[in-house]
Amino acid sequence: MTDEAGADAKLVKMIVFAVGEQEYCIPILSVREIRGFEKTTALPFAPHYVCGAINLRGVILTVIDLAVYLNVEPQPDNPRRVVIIVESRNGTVCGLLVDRVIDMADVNLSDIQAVAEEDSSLSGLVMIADRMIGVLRLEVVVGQLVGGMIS
Amino acid sequence: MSGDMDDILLVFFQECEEQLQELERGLSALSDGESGKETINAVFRAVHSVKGGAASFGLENLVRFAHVFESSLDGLRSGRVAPTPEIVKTFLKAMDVLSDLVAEAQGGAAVDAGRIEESRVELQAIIGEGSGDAEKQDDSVPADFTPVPVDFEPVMADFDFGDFGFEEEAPASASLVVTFSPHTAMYDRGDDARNLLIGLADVAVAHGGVSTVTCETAALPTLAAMETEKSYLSWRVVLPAAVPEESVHTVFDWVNDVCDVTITRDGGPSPSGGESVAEEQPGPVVPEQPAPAAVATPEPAPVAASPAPQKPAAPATVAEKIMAELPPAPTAGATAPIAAGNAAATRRPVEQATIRVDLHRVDDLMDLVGELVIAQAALESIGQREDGGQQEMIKRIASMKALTRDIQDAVMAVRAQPVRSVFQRMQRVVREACSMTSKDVVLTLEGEDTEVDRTLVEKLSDPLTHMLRNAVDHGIESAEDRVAAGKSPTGQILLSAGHRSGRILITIKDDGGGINHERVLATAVKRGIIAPDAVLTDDEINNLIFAPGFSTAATVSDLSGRGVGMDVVKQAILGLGGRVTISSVEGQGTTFCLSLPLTLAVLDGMLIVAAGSTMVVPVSSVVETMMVNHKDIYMLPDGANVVSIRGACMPLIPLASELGLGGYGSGGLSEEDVILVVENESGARAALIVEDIRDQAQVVIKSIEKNYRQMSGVSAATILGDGSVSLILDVPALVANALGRIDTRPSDVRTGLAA
Amino acid sequence: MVEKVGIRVLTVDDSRTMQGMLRKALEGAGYDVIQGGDGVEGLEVLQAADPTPNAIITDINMPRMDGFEFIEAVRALEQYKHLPMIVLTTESDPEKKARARAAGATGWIVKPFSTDSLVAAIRRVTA
Repeated sequence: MTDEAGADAKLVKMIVFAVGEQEYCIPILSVREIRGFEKTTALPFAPHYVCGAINLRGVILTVIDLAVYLNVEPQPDNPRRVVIIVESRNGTVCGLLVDRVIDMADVNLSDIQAVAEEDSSLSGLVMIADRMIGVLRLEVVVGQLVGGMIS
Repeated sequence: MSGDMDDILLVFFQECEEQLQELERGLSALSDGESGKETINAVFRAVHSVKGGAASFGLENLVRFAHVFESSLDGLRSGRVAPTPEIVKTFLKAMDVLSDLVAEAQGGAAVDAGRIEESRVELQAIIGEGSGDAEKQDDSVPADFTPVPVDFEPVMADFDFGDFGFEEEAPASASLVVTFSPHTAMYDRGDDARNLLIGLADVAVAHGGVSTVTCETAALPTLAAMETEKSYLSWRVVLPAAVPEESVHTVFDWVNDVCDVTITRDGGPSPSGGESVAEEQPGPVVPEQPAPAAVATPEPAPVAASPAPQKPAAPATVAEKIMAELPPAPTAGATAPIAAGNAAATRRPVEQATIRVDLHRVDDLMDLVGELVIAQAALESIGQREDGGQQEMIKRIASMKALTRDIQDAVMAVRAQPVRSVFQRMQRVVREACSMTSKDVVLTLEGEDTEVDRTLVEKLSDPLTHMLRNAVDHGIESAEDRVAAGKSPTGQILLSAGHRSGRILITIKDDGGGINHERVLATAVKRGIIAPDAVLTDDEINNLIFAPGFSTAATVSDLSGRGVGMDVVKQAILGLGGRVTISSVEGQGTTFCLSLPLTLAVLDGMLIVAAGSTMVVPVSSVVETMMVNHKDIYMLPDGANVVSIRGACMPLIPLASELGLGGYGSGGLSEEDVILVVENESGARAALIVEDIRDQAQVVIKSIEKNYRQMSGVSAATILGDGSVSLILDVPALVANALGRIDTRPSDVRTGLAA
Repeated sequence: MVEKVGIRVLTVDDSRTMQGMLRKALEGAGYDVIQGGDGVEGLEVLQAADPTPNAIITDINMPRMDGFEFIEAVRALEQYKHLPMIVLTTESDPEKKARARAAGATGWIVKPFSTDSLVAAIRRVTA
C-alpha cells in the first residue's frame, strides 16, 4: 500500500503544488489533467472540504478544496487556483483545488521520510531543492469521497 | 483471419445464450405439460445448434455433452420417451450443465467433471443407453465431430493420404477405368456429369496423375428425336493406377441411385463388378476409342447455372432482424455491490457487444435522421438569408427540437430489450435455491416480453437473483409447514413484469408464510435497528427487512449465509432509479414490487431552484405547483411543518435545508417561494418548497456514484445546457423521509395525515 | 482484396454462428454470399435474389421449414430445377441422406466443415 514499500532507489515523477504556504506533491501518473477553477454545484450533506461537482466532458466529478481538507488558510482570491484532476488507484476520479502548480520533480521513494501512520493523508515528507514538501496519499484523500451513504 | 474468427466466436456465444433461453423456455413449457411437437422440436434444435457451433470451434467438452443431451432429446422427439416430470427435471439439470459448459468455453470456471458425468449418465438412462461405459461414450460421439473435415460425398476427392498404403497394394500397371452413365434423374437433382468428372480428375491429381476422359455419344438420337432434358451420354475415364477404387466409390456415392457406374482395372484381371446399385443391367457400351488427350466435356442439355427468368425485385421482406452495433454499455451507475463474489457472477455471459433489433425500428430511426438532415439544411439556408430570418429560425428550431425528441425515442426503442433473458435465468436460480433448501417451488413467469433499456435488463439480474433466493429461502415454508397450513407442498412464486405509467413494474410474489411481524420486530430490536419502544406501522415493520444487517432466518442457511442482505438489494434498486415496496399477508405470502425507470439514460425533468442551485425533479412525480399561502401551513411542535392543500395534509419540505444546503432558514418562508406537490410510487405526497421553477426539459442521467457516494434525496445528476452540473432529486426518498419523521409521532397526528 | 469469382451462393441455416462461418469461408474464396435463416426465409431470399444464386448450401434442422422441405420446394419451381443444392448438416444418418436424395439434393457435407472442402464442393457444382 505504501509508496515506499520495496522500492529502494525508485524515482517517481511528482507534480508539486502549493496549498496556502505549504507545498505538496503527488505522482504525475495519477494526474489526468489540470484545469481552471470554475463554478461548482453544491452537493447535499457533503463534507465541508468538498466544493461541489463539476462536469468534465460529460463525467461528473467532485472537487475537493485541499486547503480546507488540510486545514490550511485558503486563498480564495488567488487567480492561479487550479483544479488538478486525479485518478486514485481504485479508479475514483476527482478534482483537487490547489492554489498553484509549482513544478515537476523526480523523487526518490527512499528519500521520503514517513511522518504519520498508515491512514494519514500524508505519506511522508521529502526535501526537494531545500524545500520541505508533503507527499499526499491520494487513496486516503479521495477514498473518503466514495462508499457509504450520507444522510 | 483470427479477428474474423473471434467475431464469429462471439456470435456463437451470443447464439448459445439465445439457444439456452430457448431451451429453458421449451423445457418450462414441457414441465407445464405442454409437450407439443413444436416445443419438442425447438428444444431439440436448441441443443443441436449449440452442438453444431461448438463442433466448428473444436469445443470438445461442450460438443461431447451436447451430443449426449441431443441424443436423449431425440428420444423425446421420436416419441420413444415421454416427457414425465422426472425426465424434464433431468433435462433441466442437463441444461444447467450445458450452460455452465458454455460459460467454461468462454473462459469461465471449469465445470466439475463429476457433475457432467452424473448428468450424462442420467441422460443416457433416459434412452436406455448403458451408463459409465467409457467405450460406449466414445461411440456415442461420431467421428465426424472432431472439428476436422469432411465428407463431401458426390464429388469429393478423398484427400486422406492414409490411402497411400492401399494404393501400394494395387498392381502398379493396372490403370483404373471408370465408366458411368447418368440417369436423367441425376440432372434433376441439379447435378451434372461434369461434377463427377471434376471429382474424378481431382482424385487423379491427388494420386499424382491425370485422368483421361472420353465421351460416348452413340446413344444420342437424331436432333429431331432428342428430348431436351433426357440424359443420353456416358463417359469413360481412365485414372492412374495409384487411384484406389475406394476413392472412386466416394465420388459416386451420392449419385449411386441415379447413375450407372462400372470400375475396372485395365490390364488387371479383376473387374470389381458393377457399381450400379439401382439395377444390374449391362452398362453402356464403351467402345475402345483412342482417347484424345483432352476432350472438352460436352455440355449436357440442362445448364445448371442458367440465369433464372428475371423477376421484378421483390421487396426486402427478408431480413426481419439485423445486427446493430452498439457501444459497450455505459459504465454509469457502477453500484451493483451485490455482484461481489456471488455465484451468479460466474454465470454472467461476457457483456454482449451486439444486439438484435427489429428492422422496422432501425428504419424508423433512419427516416427521422433523414428529416433531421433536411431540417439542418433548412436552418443553414435561413442563416444565410440577408434579413436573418429570426421568426423562421425560431420555428425551425422548435421543429428540430421535436425531431430530436423523436430520434431519442427511436434510439430508445432500438435499445429496448425484453426482460425475458433475465427472467428465464431466474428459473435456474430458483431450481438451485430449491435444491439447497430441499424445497419444492414452481416459478411462474409473466410479462417476459416487457421491454426495457438493455442496460437496465443486465442490471436487473443481480437484485432479482437475490430476491428470488430470498423468496425460496425465507418466503416459502418447508413442505411440512405448508401441508400443516393446508397448502400444497409445492410453493409458488410469480415473477411478473409490466409497464405502468412510464415505468416498469416487476413483481415477485410468493405464497409462503408472509412476514412475521413479531419476529421481525424482535430481531430489529435485538440488532439495535429500532428502539425497543418504537411504534411502527405494518409497512414500516415490513421495510425493516431492508435494514442493513437484518436477517430473520432462525438458522443461517446456505443461501442466506452469504452476507448479502436485502439492504444491498434495495440499494441496487435505488441505484437504478427504482424503488421497492413490500406487502405481506401473514400466512398467505409476500409480494415485492420493484418500480424502475424504463431507461437509465434520459428523464423528463422539471428544473427548479433550491439554495440558489438548479435541480431537477422528475416530471412524473410532480402533481402540481402553487404559490405558498402562509395560512395553510401549520408548524408541528418539533419545528416540522405540514401544509394543507385543499383539505389534504402533507409534510412540507423546505428543499434547501432538507438537503443540508442551508441558505434559507428552515422556518423562514419567502413570499417568492413556490410549492411543488410531489408524490411517490404508492401515492404518498409531500410539498417541496423551492425558490423558483425554471423550465421543463429532458435531461440525460449521469451517475455520480462512481466518483462520489450516494446522497440521501439525490438519485443522480445531469449536465445542463450551460455545461453546469445539476442534481436530480430522489422524490420517493424525500417523501419517505418526511413522512417517516412525521409518521413516527403519536397516532393522533398520523391519522390526521393519513388522507 | 479477394478476387471475385462471379459466383453467388445462397446459404440457409438457422445458426448465425454457422452463417458467419459460411460467409467467411465463401467470401474469402471470392464468392458472393446471400443468406436465409430458415427454409421459409431461404425461399424468399432465393426468389428475390438478382442475380439468381449459382448454388445453395442448406442446413437440415431448422425451424418453420426444414432443409428437406426447402430443397423440395426449390426443386418444384421450374426455374430452379437444376440449381445445385448441397446439404450441410451434422447428421450422417443414411435414412436422412436418402431423404435428401429423394428431395433433390445435389450433395451432402457433414458439419463441421473445413473451408477447403466447402469451397471445393461449391467449385465442383458450379464449375
